[in-house]
Amino acid sequence: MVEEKVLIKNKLGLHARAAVKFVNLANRFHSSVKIEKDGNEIDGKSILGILTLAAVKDTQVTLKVQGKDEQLALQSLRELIDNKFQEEE
Amino acid sequence: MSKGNSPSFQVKDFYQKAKSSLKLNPAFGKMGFSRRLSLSESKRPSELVLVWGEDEVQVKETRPVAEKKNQVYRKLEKEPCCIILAKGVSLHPELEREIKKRGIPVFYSELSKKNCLDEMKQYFYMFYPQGKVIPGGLIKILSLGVLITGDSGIGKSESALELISRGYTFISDDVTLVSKSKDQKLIGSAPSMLLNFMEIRGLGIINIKEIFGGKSVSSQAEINLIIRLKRWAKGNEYDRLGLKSLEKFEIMGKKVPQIVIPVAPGRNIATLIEVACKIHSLREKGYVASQDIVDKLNRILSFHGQKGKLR
Repeated sequence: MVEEKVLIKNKLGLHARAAVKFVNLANRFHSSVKIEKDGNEIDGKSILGILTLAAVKDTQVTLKVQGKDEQLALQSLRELIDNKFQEEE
Repeated sequence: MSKGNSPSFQVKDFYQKAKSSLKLNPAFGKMGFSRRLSLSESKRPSELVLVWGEDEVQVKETRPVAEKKNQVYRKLEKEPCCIILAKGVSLHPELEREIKKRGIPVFYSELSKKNCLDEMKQYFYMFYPQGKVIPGGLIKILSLGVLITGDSGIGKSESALELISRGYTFISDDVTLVSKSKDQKLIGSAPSMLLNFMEIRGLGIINIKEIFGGKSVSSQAEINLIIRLKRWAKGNEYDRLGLKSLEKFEIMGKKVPQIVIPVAPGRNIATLIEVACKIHSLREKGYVASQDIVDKLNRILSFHGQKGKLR
């Protein structure tokens, strides 16, 4: 399993459209994707799960990826978050 | 929730973040702004941030003064981090002195006590959902609260939807909030944001209450059984007789019986889940079909064994 702490940087936080982008990307990989926030872990491939996080800007979450393509999955998901979900701010 | 992850922040931060939603204004006790709110299992938000309405601070004529005073003072002794006075509440000078002596910051709010408490709940939900979030959907089948778990995309929501259309009660999809009741039962509910919602691939997010009506949903249920859906893997051996006692899965230190159902094309998962629940109920009552048939077989074997010949 690989894991990494990431910071939500976009202004609106992990809102609905961003969550959809994340879930769609996560579902492209075989590995299981979990997101942890405040000691609670949710399935990163579940849109409802991510919406429950209600992660605002500057929230730190931990991505936990496990499976045969874990390195690539973690890298891609981190890049998506770092690129503010391809949003302007 | 592990202790190390318990949220902890200063009263100052709480004030900055909550002042607009709770409509707060500092009254006195600013030197207490550095007090820390450390939430844990034993320290609930309601103990750390006291919200006082008329009832709490006013000495009613019907009650002896001393008793009322003690109640208020007992709360102060529990070392709350700050006190919020709801709209229109003012402190008795004696009580104000006591609070100042203890250095507890006090805020005025423009909201009524009830609204204050509602906002507090929303505010602290982000930090402390008063339980544990576990992956899996909860549905009530007959008298059993059944948590359906398994890898994403295996068909949890679809089978839950099928069960709801057969008349069973929906509680949560994909994410379930678990807390312990006073009598140590595990109570599952939907996180407030997801109440009544479910996600079905291809249909998007749907509202079960709006589709199936109010009777099809419930706010919470005790978790009695876990059904884990697992992809059918070649070479794995599955329980063919059902003789083994059920595996147990631990949630918040409590063991819950778990049934693993292998998923393969052509298997109707909803029916399997429904029947698994009925089997579980029978087991609880003492009837185990596999034991029944084994007993029957043994009787026949021993009977013919005594006769010394096999038919």
